[in-house]
Amino acid sequence: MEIQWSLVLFTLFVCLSAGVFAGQGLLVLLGKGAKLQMPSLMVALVALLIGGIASFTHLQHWERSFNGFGHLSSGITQELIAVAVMFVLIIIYFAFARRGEIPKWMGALAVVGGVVLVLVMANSYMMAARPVWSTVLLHLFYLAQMVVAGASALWLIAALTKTEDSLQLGARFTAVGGALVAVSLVAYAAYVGSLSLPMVGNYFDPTEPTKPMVAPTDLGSNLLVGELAAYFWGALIMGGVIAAVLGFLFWNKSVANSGFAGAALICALAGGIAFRAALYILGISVYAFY
Amino acid sequence: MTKYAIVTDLDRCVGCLACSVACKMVNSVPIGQFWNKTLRVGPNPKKEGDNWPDVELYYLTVQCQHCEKPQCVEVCPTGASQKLIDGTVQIDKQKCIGCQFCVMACPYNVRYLNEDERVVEKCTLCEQLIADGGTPQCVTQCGGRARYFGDLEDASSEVSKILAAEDSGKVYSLPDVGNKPTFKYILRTMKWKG
Repeated sequence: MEIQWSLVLFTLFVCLSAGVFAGQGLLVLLGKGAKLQMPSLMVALVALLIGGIASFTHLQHWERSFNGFGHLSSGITQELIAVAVMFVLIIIYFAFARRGEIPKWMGALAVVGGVVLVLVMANSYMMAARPVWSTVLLHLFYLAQMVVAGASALWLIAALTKTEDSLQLGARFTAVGGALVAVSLVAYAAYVGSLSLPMVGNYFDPTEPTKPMVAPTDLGSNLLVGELAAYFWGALIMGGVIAAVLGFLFWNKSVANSGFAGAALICALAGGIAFRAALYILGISVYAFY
Repeated sequence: MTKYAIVTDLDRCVGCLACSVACKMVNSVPIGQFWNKTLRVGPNPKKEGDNWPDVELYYLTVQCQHCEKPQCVEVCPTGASQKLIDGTVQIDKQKCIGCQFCVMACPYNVRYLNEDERVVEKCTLCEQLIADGGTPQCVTQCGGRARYFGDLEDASSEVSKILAAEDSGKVYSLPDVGNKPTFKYILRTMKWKG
């Protein structure tokens, strides 16, 4: 399948938005990060809007969506509802932030809202017809992405706003998120390698006479050492290992270093893009020869 | 309830592609798209280790299977893809927003984005013809007389009689991932590979 860049950006920015929002909610629960609440909220809102706009660019007739959505079994409808709920939560959060005191229940709602949004988003790609997508390991990946992207963004915001009580937490969660990304990608590669898709032996499609036969047994090696290796290892090393190492370097330090935090954020986002792109190229049908 | 379907006798299919071409003609299917494809499955060894000439080959016509539990309908956010009372799966183009999730959710790769109209299209089972009591054009034009159309719920229909007379072990469907494809294929002389 061709890379669907609109959806790559949608899922990436949803993870970033949900991560930042959930992260600042967690800081409220821990009684920290008062100074970074408003700028973080703006980042979460802008990321959600960018993601939303990106998803609309995927639609061929976006104007019809205003009178058409509503089929509840559809993952897209569920995503739209979750994004709308998240938007409302951000607005309510904003009202509390303006008054300078965010209640702990609001912080808890931000954490829950962020996690639910990411899970709903991940769930919309669970399709029996696409076995490489139909695994909860991708839910784990998206949650890990949410943690590393959100934490590194909060770490950067904390460094820029000199919110010292949040620096260490941001770095630690970046390290944990990066490690989770790496673990989820290794587990996913093992899953793809273990997939056994139906084959028909030799076949020929007269509608695509120059197209080589698809060999669904090559999926795992394609990901690890084939044409998708650069995407996969790029995602694992940048979005996982490097982000984790950058966070780990500041595990016990409460130093405002926006360079390291910014680098961790860039690595997290670049890794996220690389893996999502690979998912689309890899996302062949369960009966690829049709 | 009606369950319209096509039964294809693969032993009779000669791979003439008349069904594919007829479908394109009658439905104005855009260039490069085929609502009805004719794949050649084989040549494959008749049994493990065999080599030419001990090989076999059959033609497999693949189109929308008008599934009983269509995944395309489930993922459609606007209800544009819908299961009708006659058992067919149809797309209301006025409702389609072109998100293409149905294309991703279909296990048979038989949905296409019409880039001029910017909506998804697929085999309609020639709805415009069957509503008038006719048969789908791929059935009418079949060069090998291999295709039959009718209501699987009606025991007196041609398709029901053909299936009833057949050894059930020789009747196949395209692989099922929970979507329950409706169309049937008969293959008596060779090994079904899907």
